[in-house]
Amino acid sequence: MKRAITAICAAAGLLSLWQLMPELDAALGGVRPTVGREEAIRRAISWAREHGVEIGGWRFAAAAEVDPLLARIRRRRPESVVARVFTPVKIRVLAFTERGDAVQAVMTAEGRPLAFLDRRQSVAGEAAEDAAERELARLAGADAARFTKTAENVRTLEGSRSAWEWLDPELAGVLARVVVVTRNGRVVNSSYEFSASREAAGQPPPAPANVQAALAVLAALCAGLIAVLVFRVLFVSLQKRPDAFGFAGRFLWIPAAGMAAAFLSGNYQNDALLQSFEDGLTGDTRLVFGITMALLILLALFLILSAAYAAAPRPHFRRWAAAVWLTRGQWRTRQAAEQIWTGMAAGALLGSVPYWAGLAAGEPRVRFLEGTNLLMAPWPAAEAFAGLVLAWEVYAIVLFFFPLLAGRLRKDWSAAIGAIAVGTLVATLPRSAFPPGHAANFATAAALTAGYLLTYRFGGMLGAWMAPLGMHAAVQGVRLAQMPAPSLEAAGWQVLALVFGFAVAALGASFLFPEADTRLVEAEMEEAATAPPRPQRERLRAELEVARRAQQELLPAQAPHIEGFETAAVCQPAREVGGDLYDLLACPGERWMLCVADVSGKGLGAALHMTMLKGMLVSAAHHAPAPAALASRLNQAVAETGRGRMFITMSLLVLDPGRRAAEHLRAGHNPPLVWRAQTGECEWRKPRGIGLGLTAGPAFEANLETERIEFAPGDVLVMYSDGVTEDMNSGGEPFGEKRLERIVRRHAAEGPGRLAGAIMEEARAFRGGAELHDDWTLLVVQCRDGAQAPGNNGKSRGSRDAELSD
Amino acid sequence: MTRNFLIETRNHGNVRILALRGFLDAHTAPRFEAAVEEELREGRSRLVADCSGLDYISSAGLGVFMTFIDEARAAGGDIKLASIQPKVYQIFDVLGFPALFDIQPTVEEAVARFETGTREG
Repeated sequence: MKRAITAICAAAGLLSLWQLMPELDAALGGVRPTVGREEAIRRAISWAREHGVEIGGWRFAAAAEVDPLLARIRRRRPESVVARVFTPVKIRVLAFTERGDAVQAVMTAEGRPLAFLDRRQSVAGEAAEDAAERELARLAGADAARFTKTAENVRTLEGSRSAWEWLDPELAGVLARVVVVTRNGRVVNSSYEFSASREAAGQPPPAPANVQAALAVLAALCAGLIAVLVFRVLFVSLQKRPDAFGFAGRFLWIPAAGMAAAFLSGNYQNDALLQSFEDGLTGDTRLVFGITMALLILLALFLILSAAYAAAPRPHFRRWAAAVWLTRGQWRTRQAAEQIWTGMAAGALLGSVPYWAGLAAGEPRVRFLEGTNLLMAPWPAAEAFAGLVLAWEVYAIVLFFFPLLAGRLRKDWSAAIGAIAVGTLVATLPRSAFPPGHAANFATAAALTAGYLLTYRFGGMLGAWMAPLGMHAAVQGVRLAQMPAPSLEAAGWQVLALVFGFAVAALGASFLFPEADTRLVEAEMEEAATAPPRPQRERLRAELEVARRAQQELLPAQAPHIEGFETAAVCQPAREVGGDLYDLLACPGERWMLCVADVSGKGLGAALHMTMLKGMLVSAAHHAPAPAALASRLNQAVAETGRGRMFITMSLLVLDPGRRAAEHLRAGHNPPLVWRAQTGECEWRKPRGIGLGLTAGPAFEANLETERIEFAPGDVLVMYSDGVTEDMNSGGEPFGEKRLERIVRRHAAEGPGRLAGAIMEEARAFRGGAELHDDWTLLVVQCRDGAQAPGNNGKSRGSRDAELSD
Repeated sequence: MTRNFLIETRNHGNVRILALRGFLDAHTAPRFEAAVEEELREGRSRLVADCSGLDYISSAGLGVFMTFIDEARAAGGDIKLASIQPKVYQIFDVLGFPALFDIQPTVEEAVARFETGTREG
């Protein structure tokens, strides 16, 4: 449905452009050029040959320019001689060599000679006495007789200068002048110029000076306001949102691709050559300037994008999600394709807005998007992609200013009114569609800004970004398609095929690509948006450090002395604080409670529950209840406090050192490993049991098994959290039980300290550069000889950290 | 270490299938949680988690199942798990999940269990 509406919009836009453009477009001054780039260059070569210069094989640049004065005269008096001899569109062909020689030929839209300039280092060849006269005849044709010679062979630095003038009696006040400079009897420079009174040219009176000044001041104020806002947002909001720079940096490849297209197609170079020539330079001198400008524009876009991203309020995240997802390389998504298509289609409709405004206002013609350069560009389609870069008013008003306002005003529509007001004033003043001060300008600007806002509303951030491209493509495409065929040289089809193909591809992709789950992106944006500002972050970090120390204090500082047993333990949290716990608690009757537990999740929430578990274990140890009864009570407590959002897995061992036996239960925890000294074999102890807090019902008790483990001297028990076995290397491969068992077999006989150290070493080597994936906890217990040697007393030790030694 | 996790939802009669792909850990669990929450909010309580593409699940991921199982059952539905890879099943198994959840070898069997009204595995 949405796609059908946008397709109708695009069709309506293209259709109205097709209908309105021939009447209302001022871009070509009412002329339909019949000469294309190739043909213009061909003519320039043969014309230069007539002047004795061989430029075939030189480098060429070409451009088409409109003379607004001539355009106006032509519109008022199309039958006048001036309008006939000089056409508003002039085509410049520049040929040059690396030696510094340059020749420029200027011709009319039909390819008739208008001016010639020979700027070679040395001019040699056959001389002609009447070179100047012949040149006038060439330029003015049958009308040459109307001109009066006003200067003959006046010596100048350049050569001998002759001039002819003619005051058109039909057009009072229009003076046409042709100047020809010859050197050694050869034409080196021929040119024409005009002067016309304002009345003769039919120029509207300029707006009163005070109105102009007021508008200029207003524009400057608004531009300044936006600049201040951008910087304020950059410096204030970005402190909160460090992800904005990342997004903007990754998004930049889209405008950069537009620039690269213009560069690779040779359009930049073409313009730079012509510009260099006008500045009296040769070669690509201006190219350096052009590239510098491009980089500056990218920097400005980067700032605007970062500020816009940081300014977008929460309800707008949805519109940005597809763009954020795209910048992460996920381009095969329905949302992105749909947004791009919506933007392109809306752009086509928006392109017709100035023409409708012109139709409604009557007289004025639309000079918006003067795209004559397109005709002579080496690769016209690439010109349209400049729309991805240069529509800064869209980026400033729609993507930055509007979300910023919307974040501060309660109603979206009031923000829209504000944005339209500012957009009307600022965005379209520098390139208004109609003569400055004309009321139609404001109507156009307001309608365009509103249209862009709607595109942003329904087509998201990508849609708003793409809309200018759609607009340029539609306007230029229709303009080219209406040109006489010889001028096209397939250029019109290039635009149609490339840009329109892009739009249609986006439409197709919106059907083919799967809908992406952008909720994660939105959640991340939300998280970054609500992140505390930097000073607060510092404080939080300090508080976390306090919490970390407090939690470390909860773990046994020193392994207690258990008669006939030796222990070692390690506990490393993956973050500042962890959800793993191990403990060795003395119980009445010379018994010991050993436990390793793992709270689901990690970080602060897990740590808080771990503390709670510690408290419950300590208080339980005093009463020494049966392990099953204790587990049942813990289960109830965890189920109540966790409310189904959290659970704890636990291995609980009540050890009777005197009997060298233990009761063991496993509440969903990783099965402990027992190594038998006598056989050197390992046993995984896996009684049935469900994690604490998974169910408050009787299923917990029904599934709980308590087993008895007998120890012989030398036997080793290894309890651990899943952080040990699910520790991952950078390839995502888990450490695994098998690896653990192998290490235990190899090192168990060396005593708990060495075994724990060996496991830790292996884990570190296995992990390589990867971060600790989860809290990592290990508790190793070894049964010593029954008749304990006195010297063994101090040997049982524990460690709260990686500081393990033997 | 950011890993991919994808949820694709589809209907199988009046049973909603959530096909999980990739790594379900503390980073990606909130998305899964949001997805299940939405299903329940929309009144779809007969859910089957198709775990054939699930490569890893951490305690945070397991927590999501627990969080909503009671709610789903109270609404007359259930969350069933289907076609779990062996290494992932081991994690479920260690935790005692098979005692609490209905775990089936295939999605079809899980869906069929809704028809017969059987719940516990």
